[in-house]
Amino acid sequence: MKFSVNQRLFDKEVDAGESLLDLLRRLGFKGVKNGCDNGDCGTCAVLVDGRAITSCDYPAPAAEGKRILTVEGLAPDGQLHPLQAAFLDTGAVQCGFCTPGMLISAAELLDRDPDPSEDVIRATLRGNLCRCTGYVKPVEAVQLAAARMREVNDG
Amino acid sequence: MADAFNVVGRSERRVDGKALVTGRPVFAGDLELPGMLHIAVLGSPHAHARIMGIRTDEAESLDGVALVLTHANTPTVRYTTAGQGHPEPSPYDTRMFDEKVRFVGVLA
Repeated sequence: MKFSVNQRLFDKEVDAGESLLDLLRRLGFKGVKNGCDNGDCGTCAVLVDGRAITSCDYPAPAAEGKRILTVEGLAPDGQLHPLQAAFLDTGAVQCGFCTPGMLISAAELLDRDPDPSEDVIRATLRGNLCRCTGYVKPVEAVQLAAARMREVNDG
Repeated sequence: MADAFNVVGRSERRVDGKALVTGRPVFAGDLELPGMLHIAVLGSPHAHARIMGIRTDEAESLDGVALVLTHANTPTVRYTTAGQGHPEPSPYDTRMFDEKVRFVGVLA
């Protein structure tokens, strides 16, 4: 089966019953986390052809020919994505386990809405459960990243 | 006020932040080492029971099973799960695997 992860092409044998999460972790993309294995917690979120999905309940064979983006692909050349920088700057990372999923959800959002309201950001992160502290800092981080990205794009 | 201190009143960059936001394999579950063994856990089927014995021979004879750990072959050193500081005021009452189980699902 052919597919791409973070713009790198793969041609791999895939088990019919394998989840996309297990496939990605098997290939070494450990930034994709297994939190609940049930589609509930959002730690395993990746973009498939630009759309955020939970990879634990996404069959690996369904990814044939698709473009997959994981958290590792947000900073391909070592330069942090504005979302990653903003999560650090606002202190939005505690244990960090939910962070990759939040970054992916937020990346999808900012791709289609460069200036989302707080309500929209909260609705977007609703599928990403944090068990450390909560959501105030991540929401601030997405707002900060959006503002910085708008500045770059407008300037 | 903050000027009087180097740390108090200032934000600190966390040392592991970049690894966490870039998805580096920093959690125990992300590690893959050569020859690494995997563990499977069997919780107690009984609530509040004293273990008279656990038959492990069948499990040990399975292909690929390296060892089976129970209360019978692990250290009996008691420790505290609280971790409040030193000297630790909390009771040293926990064993790696106890011969007494106190709820269904507890590791025995």
